[in-house]
Formats: sequence, structure tokens, C-alpha cells
Amino acid sequence: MENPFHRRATEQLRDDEAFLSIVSPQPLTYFLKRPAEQGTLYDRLVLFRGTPGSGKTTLARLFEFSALSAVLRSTGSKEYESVAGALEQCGAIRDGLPTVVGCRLPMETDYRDFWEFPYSEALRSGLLFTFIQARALLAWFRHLQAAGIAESDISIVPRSDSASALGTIGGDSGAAVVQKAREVERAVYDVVGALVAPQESDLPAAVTGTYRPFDVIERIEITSRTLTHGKRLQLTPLVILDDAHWLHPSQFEAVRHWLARRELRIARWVITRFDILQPGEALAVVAEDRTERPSYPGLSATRDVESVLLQSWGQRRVQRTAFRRMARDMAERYLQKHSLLGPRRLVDIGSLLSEEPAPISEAKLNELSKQVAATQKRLKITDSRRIELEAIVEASRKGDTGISSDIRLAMLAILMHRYSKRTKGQASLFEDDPEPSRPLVADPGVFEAAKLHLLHRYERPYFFGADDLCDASSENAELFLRLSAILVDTVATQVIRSKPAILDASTQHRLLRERARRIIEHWNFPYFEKVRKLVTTIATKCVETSVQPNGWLTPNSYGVLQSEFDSLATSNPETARVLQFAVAYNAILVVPRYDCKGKEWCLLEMGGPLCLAHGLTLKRGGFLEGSATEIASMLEENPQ
Amino acid sequence: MKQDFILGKLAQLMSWDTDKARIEFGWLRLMSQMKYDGYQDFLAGARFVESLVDWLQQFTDAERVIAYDFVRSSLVYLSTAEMNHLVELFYPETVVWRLQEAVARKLSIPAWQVWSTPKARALFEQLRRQTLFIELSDGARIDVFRRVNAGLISNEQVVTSPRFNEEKWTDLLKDLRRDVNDPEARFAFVFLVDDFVGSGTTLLRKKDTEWTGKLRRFWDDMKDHRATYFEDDWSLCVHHYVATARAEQAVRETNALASSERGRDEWFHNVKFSFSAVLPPDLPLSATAHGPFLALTDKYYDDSIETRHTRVAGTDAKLGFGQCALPLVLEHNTPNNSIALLWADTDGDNGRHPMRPLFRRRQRHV
Repeated sequence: MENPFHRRATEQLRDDEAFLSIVSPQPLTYFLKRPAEQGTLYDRLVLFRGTPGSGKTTLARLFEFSALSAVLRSTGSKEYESVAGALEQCGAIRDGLPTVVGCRLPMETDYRDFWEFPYSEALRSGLLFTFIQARALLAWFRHLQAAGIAESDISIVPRSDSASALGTIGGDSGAAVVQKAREVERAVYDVVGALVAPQESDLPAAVTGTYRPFDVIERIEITSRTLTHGKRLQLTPLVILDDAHWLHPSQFEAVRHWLARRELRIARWVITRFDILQPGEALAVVAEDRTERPSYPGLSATRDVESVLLQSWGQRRVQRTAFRRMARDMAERYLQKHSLLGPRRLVDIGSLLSEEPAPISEAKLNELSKQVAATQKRLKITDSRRIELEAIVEASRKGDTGISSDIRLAMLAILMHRYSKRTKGQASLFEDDPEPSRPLVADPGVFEAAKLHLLHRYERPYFFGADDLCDASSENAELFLRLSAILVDTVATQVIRSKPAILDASTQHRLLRERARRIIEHWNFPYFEKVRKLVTTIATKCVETSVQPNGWLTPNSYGVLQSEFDSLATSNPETARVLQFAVAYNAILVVPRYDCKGKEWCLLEMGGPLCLAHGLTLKRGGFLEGSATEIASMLEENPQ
Repeated sequence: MKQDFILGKLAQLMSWDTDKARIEFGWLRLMSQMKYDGYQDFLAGARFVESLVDWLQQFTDAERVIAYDFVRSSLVYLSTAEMNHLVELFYPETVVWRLQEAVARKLSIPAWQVWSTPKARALFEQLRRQTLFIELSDGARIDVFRRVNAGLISNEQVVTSPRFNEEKWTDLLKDLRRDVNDPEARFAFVFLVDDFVGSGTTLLRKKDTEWTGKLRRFWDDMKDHRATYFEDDWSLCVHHYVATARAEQAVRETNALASSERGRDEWFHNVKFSFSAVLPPDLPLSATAHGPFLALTDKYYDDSIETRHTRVAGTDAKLGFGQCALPLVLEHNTPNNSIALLWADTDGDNGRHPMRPLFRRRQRHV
């Protein structure tokens, strides 16, 4: 029995068909449909930034020509239909034909080596650009030939003002261009692979000569009997530089500058994590004001660069709903591939995870009941007032959904404390049951606080159901798969043991918390120890507040004033650096420009694993007010 | 049999709850795929997990926990890939070094200088051709050895049987003389190769007043041809891919004893032992570390597995041949030095407990 949820990275799926069968088209349309409609996806540099597991490489792989042609080969197949539809919406397919020929160059191989050479920066950058261009050309041709298009059926369409430069890339025929690209790649590779870098003066002409195919090429023209039915078809070349954070920061800047030039006609995407950015820039990216354009998720555009942020963006509720949809779709595709659950049609993650709450035991309920009675006595609340408060709790029932006895008692206790607080100083010799200064209501906040009180006092299952699983994933596909894997394994084990294929709330809750703790224990990214120290301090403060008897706040975030956050990189670079990596690796989500009490806040929201491990609400918005100075003091060795 | 079905049965047999079952299923699947299912005596549809269920069924509920814990934490299994790796190491780590030492000695130079002069390199190549490789059993994987050293070792240097007639000796010598273009050439090294040595008894032992074993047989076969086939200072090298710590010591001591007792004319002059891997001294099961499991080996024992061969080295075979008490399984067969409860298969006709094997052993000696 193989559990595909354990195979997280799409790079592990070498075969295009296997890759396409598990990929969900949801993020494709969500992130790229609009820019494609606006025409900015293929005409300028597009900079994708996201955390590990946010789906960067998955997006890139979908635009590789081999994946596109696999989709087109299987027209009519139900499995690929939605992917094909999404690619059409993104402008990569039109009328059943491809419009782009994409190739992905992972930057983690030998590209950074150029930085180590004892040459001038201009020459080092020049070598890098030449290498990228030669490899991109070879990759485009390789993809086209793999799709059954002969080299002789491929030709280059130059930019109208670059026809004279055609000779520098070998000409316009496919064979000549490939021949030239091979020569250049070989020559540059000889330099990269040399044990001792050759003298600058000894570099061969093939390396130092003019070779700028990106400046020359406008389109690649193909004829294919199978793909284009013998017609000529012009494709936009698309080069995708994946994992660009492997480059040296100076190389990255040079590449960004080079590809942002407006005169380039090829499509070019650069995909990176946040690591490569300077702290100020990284935090500015996630704190950017996107409230003005909620319809462009994660997108900000300049005239030269389109920016796509593959994480927290736009309206939070919309974002969460979209991720839930995407995650469920992805889970269904993965479950179909599960050797045990797939054939049994157990492919809906929602139906595998019970949403039936698991109340506390009878003994614990009795204990709680006594505690509530003691609270009533201690706070001098009359029986008639208690009945009134119980009626308020009862009235909070919506429709047929009942409230279990334990929640009802916990809510009652919260209301008693609120009542006591709101009548402080009002009781007199003549009035032993004063009215509260403000009316009491049992709103969803009280309900949430009651559930958290029961979690922390009695370990009542709090995290269960498919929505909680999605919400705990911090809108990160890889994290969703990691959390789901253990649940799916357990369902499969139950099936093997002839038990029902559904996990009860307490099992889900326990497994999710165990997995989250393991994820945090295994953090291993730059500054992870400091990040862990910071988030543990914040999470502990959030728990302390969440279990306050009057349940006034159930926070999972720490707020600093937006103005303070904006200047953090200059006022406290070390803290900014730690926060950058906390954001880059999903420990923290930054929620910028959050209006509360007439002030603009920037919230540092705890990531899903932290909420699970510490027992914090997954509901958004509750935060502890703080400051940048306090964050810095949390990072000190022995804060006073 | 579908693995998921049999895993369900195993969970039932072991009374595992879902959490325990999930963890154990993951481990069993991984180990089956990576190692145990490759055991050569398993059949399609009845591989490791099926065999494990069958094996565990012979115990009571409480004993099953002990037995499973033994498999989980004490069993040592050498897979095909691991054994082949040891075979691959044999030439570069043992043969080369032996020949390099010989070249250095002959030319009176330090061993590290051997590769620096054409003369030394030529002598090294000549000595390599003057080396014979003889397998002592079919576990020696001489086929793998030949493949990984193609171009270095010729087929005319490799003998796939420990005992061969004079005609074969003559052919081997003829091929050598032709290859080195020297009508007087003789062999300088003989490597006797085997997969595993557990006690060392099969290799060499004294029975009453007589020395016997594989080394003795080899001596008998070649003693009359020594001057014809071997150089005066030739070396016999005995190499095992895997050895117990006990055997490593025992073979050296027994050989020294044989040499001193039999005298210079009746034994090899120059014998060297080598091992690709020596198992740790604390590997054998002991009463302190494995008491409960050793009690099972005692309780579930059928003495009908004893033969005249097993009696050679000890009183009974509960702890395996030579009382080695090994928790060891090799992918092509379980050594008889391993505890009998792992490999023994009996009918129980004699009124004793019918033993069911986890890794059935193919008996070489019937």
C-alpha cells in the first residue's frame, strides 16, 4: 500500500503523466488567470515568490512544453480536462494548440559557480547569462523534439530589428541554432567545470563572443503532423528560472535586472523563495499594500516586472476558501492514487475525517459542573442570574445544531466572569443581582473561547474535520500533504483492520498535534533556533490569554504597528532577518495593514503547525498588541 | 496473497491498536520492500509478512510480543545489495593491498611507491595474473566478483569449485604461462573465497586426532603439485565477505595450531585471513540482553533438526551450529549458526513442537 501523500515534492514525479494526474489546477487559475487576461504574463519579467511547498515548482512544471503536450495528447481525458481548462485560461493553450514553449531551468545546479570565478563582475554575469541562454535554447528544442517535432520543422522567428543578429545564434534553422547552442554550452561548461579557472585572457571566443538569443528571438515556429496538423504555428518561448534563491544575491539582482528589460520578446519567469531577498525587501514584499486590488491575488505590477506572491494575499476569507477548495481537490487526486483507498473510492478527504465533536467524559463533565457551581458561588451570582445566563447560552444555538453539555458549561462560566466584570462596583447592600454595564451575549467568540478552555483543561479534541486540516496548512500545499499523510495512513490502517474508513475527532486532533510538534522539532532553516524561540514566546503568551476565565480574546497573532514594522529592517536588522526566515519557512504569516482600534497594525500570525502544537485558535483576527522592541527582547538570550 | 490483507491478520494476531498498527505497517512495508522480501527462499505470494504471520502463530499471545520485538530490534539481515557491495570491496580493499605489499617486498620499496614506477606497476600486473581465485561454496558469488572486476581479472584465474582435478590445474597453468609469456611462470597467490564464517569449524577443525575441513581438503588436493604450480614463496589468502568476531579469532588460532602440529612439510607456509565485514562481538544473543527470546528458543525446539553435521560443533542446535546464537539472515540462505527458531522447519512427528521457520534454511548438508 503506497501513500502518495508522503511524496510531497513534484520534482519526485519524473513522468509528466504521473505529475499531471495529481496536480490541481486551482492555484493556476487563482494566481495566473488575471495577469494572463491582462497580457502581463508573457510580455515582461514575472517574479514568483513563495515559501517552500507553496507550489512554485508545480506551477512551473505545468508550463513546460512536455507537460503541455502531455495535456494536449490526452484531450478528452477526464483526468486532464480541468488542467487543460486552467492552462487555456492562463493563455498557454488556445484552440487546442499550445501558445508557449516553456522550459524550466533549476538554478540549484552549477549556475552559482560563476560567482566564485576570479573575474570582473561584468564578466561573471556575462558568463551566467550566456549559460542560461544556451541551456534554455537546448531545453526548448529538447522539449519540442520529445513531443515528436523534428529539428528540421523548428525555426526561429527573429525580432524585426534583430534579423541581422541572427548569425550570432547560428541562423534561423533549428539545426543551426541547436548546433550553436551546444557549442556555447560546452565551452562555458568547460570553464565552469575546470578545477582551476582559466585566465580571463585564455577564455575561448565561444564564451566571450556575442551570444544573446533572448535578445534576438521573438517566436519559435514549428510544424507538426500530430500537434499542429501540418500547419505552421508560432510559439512564445518561455524560460522559467526555478529556485533562483540558489544564486548569489548579486547574481540574482543581475539576472533580475537583465530579464526586466522591456525589449526582450521572450516570456521569462523567475521563481524564488524569500531567502534571497534582503530583510527589508522580503518584509516589504509580504507587507505590501494589496488592499486596493483584492481581485489580483498576490499580484503587484510595475511596468517592467509582474510580481506574484504565492502565499498570504488579498482578502483573507477569500484566500482561505480558495485554499480549502484547492486542498480538497488535491487530496482527491492523491487519494485516487492511493493503492488501498483509491480502488475503494474513498477519495473525499472530508468523508474520511469526522466532524462530529467528541465531548469530554462523564467524570470530567461532573468535575466541570462542580467548578462552574464554585465559580457561581465565588462570584456571588444568583441562581436567577445563572438561569438567565444559561438562556443566553441556549439562545446561541443556530438551527438544529445543538451545543454539547461541556461547551454549554464552559460558555456559562465565561459569561459568569464577564457578568462579574461588568457589574464590578455596582453591588450594594440593597441590590445583590445588579444589571451588567453592557448586555451579555454568547457570540461565536464565547463559543470559540469555551472550546479552547476545554482543550487546555481537559484536552477536548479541538482540531478535526477537513476544514481545520486545510486551515492548519497555512495555505501551503506541501504542509497540507504533510499533515494529511498521517491521517490518510491511519484511515488506511483502519481499513486494513476492517474498521470504518473514518477518523473520529480525538484521533484527528491527537495525530495532527503530534505531527505539528514533529514538524517544528525538525525545523532546519537559517535562524531556525531564533525563530523557534520567538514563536514559542508569542504562542505561550497567546495561550495564556486564550485561557483567561472571561475568554475576552483568543489570539493567534502578535501585532505591531504597521509604521514600526515598515522601519524594522533599518531600526532592528537582526529582528528583521529572523522574521524574514520565519515568514520564508511558514512559521509566521504576515497580515499587513490590519485596522483595529483606529490604528493600522501588522499582524504576525502563527503558522498552522504552531497553532496545532500550542493549541491556538485557527480563526483569524485575534492578536496581542505588542511592539518591535518587545519582539527584539524576546530574541535576546536572557530577556529581562 | 495481498499484503494489506495479511497485515490486517497480523494486527489481529498481535492485538495492535490502530496507532501501533500504523507505525508497524509502515516499518514492515519499508523493510519488506528494502530487504526481507528479497530472501531467496520466499515464494511469490508468500514473502516476508506472510512468513512472519505463520511464524508468530506458533507462539502464545505474550510470546508473540517477545518474538516480534526480536524481529524488530535484534534481527540482522544482509540484503543482496549489501552482500554485493562486500563482494565489490574485495578486490580494491583486499586483493590490491596484498599484491601491493608483495611488490613492495620484492622491490624493496615502500608500498606507497608501487604506483610511481613503471617497473613496480608491471610487477603488480604480473602478480595479479599469477593469482587464482577459488570459491569455497556457492555463496561466494564468484559470478558477481567476475563481473565487477572484468578487465582486471580474467576468467582463467577464477575457479568455481573448491575441488578440481589435475587436468584443471594443468589448464590453469597453461593459460597463465601463455598470458604472461613465460613458460616457467607459476602461481604466486591463491584466494579461497567464501561468503560467511560463523564459527570457523567448517573451514578447519580437529576431529579426534585428525585435522579436517575445507582448508585440509584443499591441502590434500594440491600438496603433491606445489612445486609444479606455485612459486616457492606463494601465499594462500582466505577471504570471507562476512565473519563473526568469534570466527575471526578462531580461524587464525586454529590455523596456527594446525601449522605447528603438522609441521612445515604438511601445511601451508603462508596463510593470510581477511574479511570484508566482521560482525560486532556483542551480536550473538545473550541471556542478559535477550533472556525472554532465548526462553522461546528453548521451549520451541525440536531436536529432529540435529544431524551428524550439526553435532560436529556442539551438543544441540538450539542456538545454531557451534552455539553461535546469531540473529543473522543472509539473503540467499540463513546460516546454520543462527538460532534454530529462525530457520528450522520440522513436522513434529516425534511428538515435539513442529518448528515453523521465519526464513526457511536450505540445508546444504542432509
